[in-house]
Amino acid sequence: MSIIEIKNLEAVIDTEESNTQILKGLNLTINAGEVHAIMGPNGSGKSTLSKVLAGHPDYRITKGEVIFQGKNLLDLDPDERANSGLFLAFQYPVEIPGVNNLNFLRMAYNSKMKFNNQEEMDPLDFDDFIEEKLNILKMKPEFLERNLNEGFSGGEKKKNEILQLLTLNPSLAILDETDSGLDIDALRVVSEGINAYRNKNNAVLLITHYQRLLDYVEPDYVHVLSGGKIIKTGDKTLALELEKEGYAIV
Amino acid sequence: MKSNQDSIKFEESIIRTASKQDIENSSIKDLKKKALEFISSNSFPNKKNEEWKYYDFKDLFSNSSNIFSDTETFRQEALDKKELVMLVDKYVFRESSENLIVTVNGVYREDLSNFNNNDIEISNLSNCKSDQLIDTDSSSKDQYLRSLNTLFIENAFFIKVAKNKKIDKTLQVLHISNQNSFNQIRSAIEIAEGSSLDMVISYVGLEDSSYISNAVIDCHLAKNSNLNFTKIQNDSSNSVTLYSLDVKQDKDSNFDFNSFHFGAKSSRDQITVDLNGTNSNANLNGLYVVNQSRKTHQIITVNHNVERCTSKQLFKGIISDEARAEFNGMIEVKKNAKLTDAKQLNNNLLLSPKAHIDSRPQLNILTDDVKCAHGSTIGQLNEEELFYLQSRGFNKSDAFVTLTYSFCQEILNKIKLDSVKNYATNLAFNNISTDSNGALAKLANNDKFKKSRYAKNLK
Repeated sequence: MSIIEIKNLEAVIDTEESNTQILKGLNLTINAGEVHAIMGPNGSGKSTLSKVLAGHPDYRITKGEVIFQGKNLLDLDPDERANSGLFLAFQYPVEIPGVNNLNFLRMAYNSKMKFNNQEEMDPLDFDDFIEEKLNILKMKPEFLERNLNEGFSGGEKKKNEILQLLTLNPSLAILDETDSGLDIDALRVVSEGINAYRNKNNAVLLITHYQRLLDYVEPDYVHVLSGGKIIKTGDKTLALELEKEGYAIV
Repeated sequence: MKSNQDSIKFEESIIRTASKQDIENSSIKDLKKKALEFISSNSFPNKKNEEWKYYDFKDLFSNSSNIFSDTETFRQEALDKKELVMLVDKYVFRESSENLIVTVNGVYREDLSNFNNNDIEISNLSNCKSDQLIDTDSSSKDQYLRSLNTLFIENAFFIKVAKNKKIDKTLQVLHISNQNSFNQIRSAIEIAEGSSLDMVISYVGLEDSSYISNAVIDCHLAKNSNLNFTKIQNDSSNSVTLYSLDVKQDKDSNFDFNSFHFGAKSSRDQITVDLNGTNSNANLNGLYVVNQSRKTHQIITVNHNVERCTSKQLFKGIISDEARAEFNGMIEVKKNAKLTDAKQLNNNLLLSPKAHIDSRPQLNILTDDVKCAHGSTIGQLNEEELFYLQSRGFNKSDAFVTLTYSFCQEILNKIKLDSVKNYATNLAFNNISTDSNGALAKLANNDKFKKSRYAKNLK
């Protein structure tokens, strides 16, 4: 069963400063239970793809369609996409001072519950629920008492993204360079978090520059994105080749 | 020249009202005479005065023409006691129910107050023991407003904390105003050596009533004393309020001031702090949240008169619709004030294209060897932050509330009492968006959300 089908997608960045086509006919289908990795040179459109899927207002779709679990994704607002089960782990998570991390997580979780006509979780039950997720990521409870990403180190911010992933339990997790800036231990913990999330009903799209993440989270497919479209698809050995030879081989 | 005529008419009304005061029989005849002389020979501040440059006098004059009728008397409406008792009940903070002072239209009301603390002396002009509480300081910046207020000084009340007393219960002063009142609120606060007091002063008006308030407050902080002063201005949306606060600090004293502006059609605060003793410290914080066509003016001066004092100003504003705000902050470091450490910051969030802010952070340094910083920012909500929250399932309105909460919580968190903090938080968000309550309750850690075991350290 497919989770997401991206068909011939074209998108431009549409801001005051820039109006450039970035995605130029991208096709990708991800089925339940699969892990896909997208690699590619800088500026090839990897981050754009993730933002377009999440609904960032700076991008305009000029062609193509995206079917997400039977829904036309491009018709939905960013919050509706999230509540329908699409999650983007940000390359650069933003800091929001004064908003407590625990309250934020519970609000995000309950937004999804409410959207799907399910009962919202009360604060006490949420404590137990979140504690289990914290343990997976070996995060201390103090983490919850801090303000959202405020003063977090690079690694802490990325762990907090994975904590959100585990909390929201989406159908599709798009991880935009979640491995960048992590030390070896943090990379292992984050990978364990991603693996704890995985099951046969959901899927992962990893955007990365480095093969090392793929040692921990093994992909079923590796795609090379270049010039706004996928130009090559292979299995995990493709990532090893790219690591050795560079993008010259494709 | 219409505004000039309005101004003359306003001044005439004031002088007429003032002249009716029975000065001859007053215990402070000289003081009142002087005040009347000042008013008669000077004119009401106008736009030529730098600190009134951005003030829109229209609102003041229109309210005054309602108040002063053709028959040359106040048209102030009577208030019935039952109604007042209900208002007091509504606005008293539960922690202060036994430390409450109430004034109605500027007049101290013993019958509505509930106060029983031997360490604090509350008095009025007739039984006031300390002359120094009646400040006749002519160096004050708003001499006209002060003189006007002095003509009604019978209304004044004085708060004095005895020596070396730490008052643990927060004192609340509640000022209620009603339709067509011309309120001359006057008080003086003396914190004696080694003492400390927490105080919340709240201003409320009867719904939609039109009035003018002119409040004058003098504070003296003696050696090694401490005053935590929270002001919450929630006046009627048709009122015009003028406010002068003068604070004088002696050696080793500490003044924390948190000022909140949510109501009034037009509000103007002139706050002057004089650091007169070494090692004294003043923290001035403010939050103004104005919408519709409201105006607010914050004119703040901190005078570093002696060496080794510290001061910090942090004022934040959220301005929406066609509202206008002014922040005019000044740090004056005088010749003798070596080793001063003074900071000043004003941050503004403009939520609509017609919202307007005049922000003027200013420094005037007349000596060397000081540490001073000032700055101001004006901006909109950050698009990336909005998108981040939306990508976590927050709808647009919740994301908006969350980010505005994030912006103002730094000031709201300065409030010590939860009930006061909740009151201020709700007022702030009523002026931003009406459908904010759901998200706000979760963000603000209201009672229900305090039960979380992780919430123990939330502030």
